[in-house]
Amino acid sequence: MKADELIAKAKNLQVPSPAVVSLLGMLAEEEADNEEIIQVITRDSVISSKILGSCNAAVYGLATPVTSIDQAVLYIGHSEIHRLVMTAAFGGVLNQALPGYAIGEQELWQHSLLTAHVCVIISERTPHGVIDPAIAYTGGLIHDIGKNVISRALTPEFQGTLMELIEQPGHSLLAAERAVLGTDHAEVGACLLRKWRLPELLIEGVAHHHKPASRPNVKLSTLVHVADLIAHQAGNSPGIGSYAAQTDAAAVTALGLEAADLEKLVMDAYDTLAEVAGKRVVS
Amino acid sequence: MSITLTPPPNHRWVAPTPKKNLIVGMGDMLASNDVSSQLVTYSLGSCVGITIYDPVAKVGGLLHAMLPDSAINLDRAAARPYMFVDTGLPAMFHAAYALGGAKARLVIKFCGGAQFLDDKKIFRIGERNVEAVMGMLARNGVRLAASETGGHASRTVRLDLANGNVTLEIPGKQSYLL
Repeated sequence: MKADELIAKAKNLQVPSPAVVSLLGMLAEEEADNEEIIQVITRDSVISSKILGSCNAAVYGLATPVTSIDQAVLYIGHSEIHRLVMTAAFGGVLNQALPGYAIGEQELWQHSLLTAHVCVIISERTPHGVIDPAIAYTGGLIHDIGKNVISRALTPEFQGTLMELIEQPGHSLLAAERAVLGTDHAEVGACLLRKWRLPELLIEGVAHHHKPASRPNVKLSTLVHVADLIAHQAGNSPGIGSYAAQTDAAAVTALGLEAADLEKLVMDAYDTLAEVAGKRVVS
Repeated sequence: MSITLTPPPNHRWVAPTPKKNLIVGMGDMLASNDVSSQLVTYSLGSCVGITIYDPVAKVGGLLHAMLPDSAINLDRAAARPYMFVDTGLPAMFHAAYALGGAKARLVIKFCGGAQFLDDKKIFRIGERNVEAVMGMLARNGVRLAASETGGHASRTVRLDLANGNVTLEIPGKQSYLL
């Protein structure tokens, strides 16, 4: 089966709003101007009200309530606003239980949030940090979005075959998905993002997160690949075949990391867990 | 005509009380002698889970350690000894002794340490965690009653404090006794 056929069959997938699509487009083109970002967000009433609601929630402890997006940016900053917008845009898809993979409700969301955080940590630390932190965050957050579509096609029978395949030595989850369904969660995810008209930069990050292209230079997929592996080791690792993933040594080297750095990253990622776990999707 | 109603063999009229779950987080440990409870830790990947149980004193402990060696960050090890195998393991044994457990009677089981498909051996955390546990137990003359380590699946572990049974769960599979 082809990726787009599976996507066509998937009903009730929450499509990101036009504001989210143009915001990500602006970030990818690096022509995001502060005022334009505020304008785009303000046009989307659902996202605006979620941002204002979050700002006025007790955690920020503001004396007077925030009533506009430009005030919100001043109070909680750009990166936090970006995270709130991405939660509003993709949380609904990513927090669902995925029975095909035996993933419970919120489990993939927790893994996605942690991967996003680790993407930002690595992009800020490495001298090769040519990837914009907001794009890095988004790539980490949505890397497994294709699992939502694949899970629907994994009937108990297909799930059984998938599990038998990954129990064979050296067989990855990705290869097993291909053998059972003719496509895999990375390809389906990329196909979904293309359908939603998200920027090529993000599509690359999702499409190749298990087989990153790190030469000649670091791409988003290089970063997401390593961050995903770290997040599996520092947080929960939900679902079938979560460790049946091929690692790419070239990606680690391309980011300027060594074995000792990886253990430290696992520890640092673990430290952000409490913060990450607090961010549940409230719909 | 008469019908005789016979209950099925081993029929139980009273449903067993569900066990209370005492949840052990990542990089944490719990020891307890509450026989109505079970110690649970979810989704061990490259992390390791070690259970100890004294069947006489009915005292058990479960450690969920993330990394092999505390030398990577000694301050962290002082604040959170259970993150590391080398500091967490002795601390768990001492907690069990404090509750009346005796070293000679402790039954020790071990699981976790999943590995990625890692030909170049860049992410060796799972493997190193297993080596650290095995080395430490051997140095202290402690024998393992059962273990299941490595592989590519995450494991959820339960230790029943009434009888010391250790149950493993892998996503998509029936749970089974270790």
